[in-house]
Amino acid sequence: MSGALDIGLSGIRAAQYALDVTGHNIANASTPGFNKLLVEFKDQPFPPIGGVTASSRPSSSAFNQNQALTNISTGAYYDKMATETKPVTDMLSNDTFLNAIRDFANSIQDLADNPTSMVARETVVAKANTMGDSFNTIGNFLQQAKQNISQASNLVQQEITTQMQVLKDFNEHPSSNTSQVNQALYKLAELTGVRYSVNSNGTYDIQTFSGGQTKALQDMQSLLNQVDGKVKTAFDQFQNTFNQVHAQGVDLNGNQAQVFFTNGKVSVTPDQIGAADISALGVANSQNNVNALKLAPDSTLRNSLANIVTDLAGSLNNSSMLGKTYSDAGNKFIADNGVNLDEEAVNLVKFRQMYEANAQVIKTQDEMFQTLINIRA
Amino acid sequence: MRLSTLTLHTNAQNRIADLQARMNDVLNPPNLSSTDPVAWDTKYRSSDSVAQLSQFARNASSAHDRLLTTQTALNSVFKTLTDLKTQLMASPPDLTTAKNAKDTLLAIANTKDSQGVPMFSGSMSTTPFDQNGNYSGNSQELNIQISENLQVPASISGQRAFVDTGVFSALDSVINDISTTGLVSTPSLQALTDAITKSGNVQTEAVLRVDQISSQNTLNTNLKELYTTQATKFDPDPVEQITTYNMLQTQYEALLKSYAVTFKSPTLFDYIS
Repeated sequence: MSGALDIGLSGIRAAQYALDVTGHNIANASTPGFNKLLVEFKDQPFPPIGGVTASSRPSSSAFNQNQALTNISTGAYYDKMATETKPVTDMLSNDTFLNAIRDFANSIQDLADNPTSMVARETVVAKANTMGDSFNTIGNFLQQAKQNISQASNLVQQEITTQMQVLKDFNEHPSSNTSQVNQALYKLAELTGVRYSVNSNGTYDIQTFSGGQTKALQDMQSLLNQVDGKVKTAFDQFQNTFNQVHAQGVDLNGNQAQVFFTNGKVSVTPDQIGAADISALGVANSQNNVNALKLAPDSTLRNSLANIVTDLAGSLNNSSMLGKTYSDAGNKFIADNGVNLDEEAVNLVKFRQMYEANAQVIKTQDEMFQTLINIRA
Repeated sequence: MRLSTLTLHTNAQNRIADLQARMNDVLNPPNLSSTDPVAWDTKYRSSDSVAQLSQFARNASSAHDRLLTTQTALNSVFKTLTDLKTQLMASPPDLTTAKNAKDTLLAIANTKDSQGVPMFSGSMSTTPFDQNGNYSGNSQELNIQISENLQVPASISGQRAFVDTGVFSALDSVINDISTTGLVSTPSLQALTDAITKSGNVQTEAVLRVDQISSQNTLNTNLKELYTTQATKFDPDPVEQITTYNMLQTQYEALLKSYAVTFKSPTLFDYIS
């Protein structure tokens, strides 16, 4: 007779436990890093005992969570790459900068059109200096960007140390309260590659490896060096070629022309621009424009820069797309394992009904006992 | 897909922020290189070509004007020589007329352009002809770039216009003949005729150069229009911007209402008790 009472009692206990778990989940709906608990019911062998026991486990396994950490880390890598690449791309594709190169090319054409015009010559010098300044600005910008990346790397390292301390503190006093650990792991995954395993005593073994923002900042540093090198090479080649052609010319005073650019700055006066060719040597104010026509820059420099921008922009778009894909995958895991209040509301109803049904079993059993007692009475 | 309540709230915030960012992008379009590198590349290279073609157009215009002035001067040379020959053929040769013709031609040969540079001095900036018609310029001509691979001579040197044509030597023969014999000898008349013919040829050459520049300029203009269309293809269209903005604004309001309904309406908890 007492079997049904015990079975009902086990159901009530299990329902009570399930309601406790649901309450715990609801209470932690906004707790960062909290993985909801799932109730697991297990039937007791019947006969002889029957009934049910309830237990709970986190909704995610270490394996799944490690997968999510990899996605978060990869997403953070690409997101950081995109964030850091964008200002460089915007700077290099700036109209002011590119127009400076065009304006210089056009000023040389104007000089060829009117080789003795001092206005045309002064314009060439002004436009050449503007162009040189633009390249210096780009150089300074890239230098500053590299310094910023170094500073950002230091901050990231500090943050990694902070999060590792959280995990170390946890390992000193391991508990089942893992939301703080999860939060630290998610944060750590954004900063660097990370995977973990849980020991039997509840402590976490943490392994970090290259990835996340740390790797992005390292790669960005290397990318900036490449861009800086390409820009410098493009301008140096342009300068050298221009200087070589210029030095073959003859200036307005009939003298052999000198080097035009020195470190991006014009090193001649307007009258010293070698617009004429060697046939005008010794002839002042020559209308000869043969060398000016040779000096007129072709589109090599502009195309080199356009190619650098296009490569950067392609990489930026790729990073943005991949960053979103991997971050979405990481966030999906967090979304799947977080608390959904509607789901918990359904659980509340479900477990309350379970509780009431089991109470009904006990009540029925009680009534049956009463029936027997009444017969005796 | 199952979503945690925390994610639902986060998504709501993200979508609202995303729409706000898109509305801002419509009003202040971001740099094309970041958003659409292929479009940026097309726009950049096209506008680069437009800038280059504009420069060629300016060069061509300058060369055109210079050659037109040269052609006008050469026409005057041709007319002066022709008038002189007509006068020599029609009536007894007049020394003053011949000398006046030489002075006129010397003045033309030493004409300066609007920049104050002699038109017929080659690449020299000094006055090319002296009183006797001796040439101190050179035979260089000013080449101008009018397309990526085409340079055209935009001037005609005094060597070619006056020395090679034998204008002054023919005139000197005529003047010498009239001074000494009162008549013009057949060789002198022939030299004058040759000078007229050669001068006409040089003038024709100037006309041909003007035509060549005009033709190239037409090609450049057509090409420039094509590149301009390409370069401006990706520029924001104000009408489209306003339409898109209105659409996004409607979407934004709908999204706010949707979330207001989602988060303010009764939850399942309201139906449990």
